[in-house]
Amino acid sequence: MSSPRLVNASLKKTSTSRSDLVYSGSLVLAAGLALASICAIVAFVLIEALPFFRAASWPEFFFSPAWFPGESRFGAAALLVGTLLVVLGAIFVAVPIGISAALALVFYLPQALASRTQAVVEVIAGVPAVVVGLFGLTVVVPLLAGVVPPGLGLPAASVTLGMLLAPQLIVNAAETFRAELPELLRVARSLGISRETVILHLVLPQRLRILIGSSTILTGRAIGETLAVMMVAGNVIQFPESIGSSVRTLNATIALEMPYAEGIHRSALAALAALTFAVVLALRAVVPGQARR
Amino acid sequence: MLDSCRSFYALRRARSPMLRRIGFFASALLFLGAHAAAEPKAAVLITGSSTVAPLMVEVAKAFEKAHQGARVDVQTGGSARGVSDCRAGLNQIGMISRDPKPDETDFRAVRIARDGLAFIASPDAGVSGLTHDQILSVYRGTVTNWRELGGKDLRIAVVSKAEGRAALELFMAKFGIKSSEIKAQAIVGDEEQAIKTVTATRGSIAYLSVSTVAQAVGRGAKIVPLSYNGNSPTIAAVRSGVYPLTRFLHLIDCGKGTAASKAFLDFVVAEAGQRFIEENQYIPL
Amino acid sequence: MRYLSLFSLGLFLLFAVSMLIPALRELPRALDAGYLLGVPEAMGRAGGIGPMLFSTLLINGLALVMTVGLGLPLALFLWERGDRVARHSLQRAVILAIDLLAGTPSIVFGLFGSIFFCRILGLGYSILAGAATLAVMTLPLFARLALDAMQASPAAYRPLARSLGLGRRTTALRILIPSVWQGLVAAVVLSWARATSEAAALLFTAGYATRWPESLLDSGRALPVHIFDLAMNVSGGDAMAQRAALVLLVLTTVFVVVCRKFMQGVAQWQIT
Repeated sequence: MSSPRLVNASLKKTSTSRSDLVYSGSLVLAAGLALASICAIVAFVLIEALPFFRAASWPEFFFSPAWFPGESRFGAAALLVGTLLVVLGAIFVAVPIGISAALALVFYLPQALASRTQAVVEVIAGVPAVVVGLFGLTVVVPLLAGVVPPGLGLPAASVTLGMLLAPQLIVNAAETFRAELPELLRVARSLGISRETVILHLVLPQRLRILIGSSTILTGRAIGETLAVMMVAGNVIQFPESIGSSVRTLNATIALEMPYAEGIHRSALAALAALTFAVVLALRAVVPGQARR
Repeated sequence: MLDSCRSFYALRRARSPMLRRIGFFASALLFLGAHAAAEPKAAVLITGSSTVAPLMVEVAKAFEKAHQGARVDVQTGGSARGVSDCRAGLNQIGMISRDPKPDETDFRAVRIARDGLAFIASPDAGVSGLTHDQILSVYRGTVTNWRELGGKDLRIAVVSKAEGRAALELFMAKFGIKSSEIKAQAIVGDEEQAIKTVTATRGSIAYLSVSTVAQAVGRGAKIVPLSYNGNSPTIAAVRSGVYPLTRFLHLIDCGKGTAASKAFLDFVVAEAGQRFIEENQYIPL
Repeated sequence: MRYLSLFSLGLFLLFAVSMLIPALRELPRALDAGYLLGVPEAMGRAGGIGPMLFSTLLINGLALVMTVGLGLPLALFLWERGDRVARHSLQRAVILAIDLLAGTPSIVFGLFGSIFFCRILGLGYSILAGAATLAVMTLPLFARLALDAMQASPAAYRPLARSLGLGRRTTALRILIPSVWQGLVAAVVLSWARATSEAAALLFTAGYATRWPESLLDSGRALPVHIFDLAMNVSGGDAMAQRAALVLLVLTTVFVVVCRKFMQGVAQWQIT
């Protein structure tokens, strides 16, 4: 195989055949279209939020936990903290279970069973958020009530949201682990490396890096999910005092109040959506490798 | 790897590009074609409160059956949406689950059903009724244990409603309490969420509409309707006026309606419409 | 390692199955032609889900076509430019945009769709508007998953194809995609699953109407919206909500099975 540098040099030579131009052109068009629609949504949120941005007191918005639209008090600090805690909690629940379940699917189950089980997990990924929320409310909350009364609150929200994230994570991780696997295992066997070593020292680190790179799928879903969390988190706007405290997320506020909000209240809710974008960006900056891939 | 490349190249000739191109152009065509073939919209569009919406769907069906050729579409979006759509001329009729505000004089509000504010508690609380002041102290957070109200030794889990909800507004108005004074352990949005939350949470108390409570009790939900100052929150009590915490559900008309929408409004308040309201376990006028 | 991971899988499945028990209990009543084809009565507490099922198929099917039609070229675009670090500014902008969109609350999509597709584009409460909104919502997920699948292919494919004299388009379409079929199909399945999980986005775009939709511009209540309404808005609608949820799950199962059969067919073809 020629050295990477030489090969890259040949790659730089852009192909001039017409079909290639059409192809590249249509890709750029698609990317542009997607970018445009995304910009449209971001612009929509920012435009709706503009009246609030102009009129509001920024220190109050960012640092005060007092959100009482009826009295014109718009403090989003508790909401921000609530969102972050719920998201982190859900990831904490979903990731260990999800990754190890994916490992089981790919490495420790016989082929036929693994395929069927993955199909089941894919179906579970399609369960409506309402049903997951109902499960959280009718099963998880009473279970947790003994440990963290009254049951509604951060732990319930984390577990419920974790349940929602898990299937997607399992399937994604399984597919990532499975790529190129037969060949890898064959090569390993021929070199005399044990299966365990292959998995733990070769496959896992590299694939985990890929997964972290695309972990915005997970964090995005966690941040964006509204209904399931809203049903079990308690939704009281406050800084959590203990681990079992009732919390409210940014999304829950938008969902709960938007149908009945008028005027500056509506604009304030749009500002919360803009704050959600900020959370996405912040998480992106913090998690290594997310921004790069 | 070279071999697989060659075989891929040979065999994939007809497959991949076709599917992708079809997908791309199909969506493009659909967009253009469907827009060009735009059909006339519904004769009557009703938007607004999601509490009133399910009821209106049934009444609309009955109206369509009674008036051949009529078409009534119901959409949700909340009371605020009902008002803003009405003002912007985006609907013919709006639904609101509250009384019109004093400054809302630019539309005509038609009462279509009654409703009341009922308090419920979970069975393990051990009470069956509360006084006005007791309720106030619970929601203010000055009373925190059911024991203090004659019930079991159990922490009170206070459930309130989210900002802007009609029930919250009614509660605040009748009890003279501000939103920032309410000390709750949980906040809910829809009526059903309140019922489910009370069922799932020990020692909880909540307020919601009388008709929802009546329906829930009717199907055996594990909640206890609390009497308010000795008055039970039953449908009969609201109808007769005995129960003091009441409100009306309204349809609003911004004057931009059509003949069909006016006919619909008349239908709803007339005998025929009110029958449906009663059948669906809401409270007729 | 083995026991830990098998235990995790088992734990997850246990939770998942207990989550589905209320729905599974409705199995005998759900598999009834009257229910599957009839119209809802008494605010959905009786009657059937025919129009909803139809609307769901239309909306989700359309949305899937749009998502794949836009997302696949998008993923290819991102794959083309960066084998390693994304230095190309347009590519970075697109990735940033995708990430932002992935984290947007579902209700914001509903409101955006309502204003953009329904009002500005003049589609009104319609299946088309719902499908478009859903497509935009699942686009980041699909594009990311597809990109993942593509990046899992050996890095050697590109220089190798070059050395064979194959152009960009041929490399992508004839070599890359066939080798990552499995990952792409998984991406499609997960996008479908995401779409069926959503109610808020469709409530304000495809709407609330319970009649049989007569065109793509008609309002049609999708199954997830119906389930949400029955569970959270209509008193006593729980059993019916679970029944409808079961039907939705069966629908998803059929979709997953079809995808799997398709994959097997492709694999067979690859071997020959």
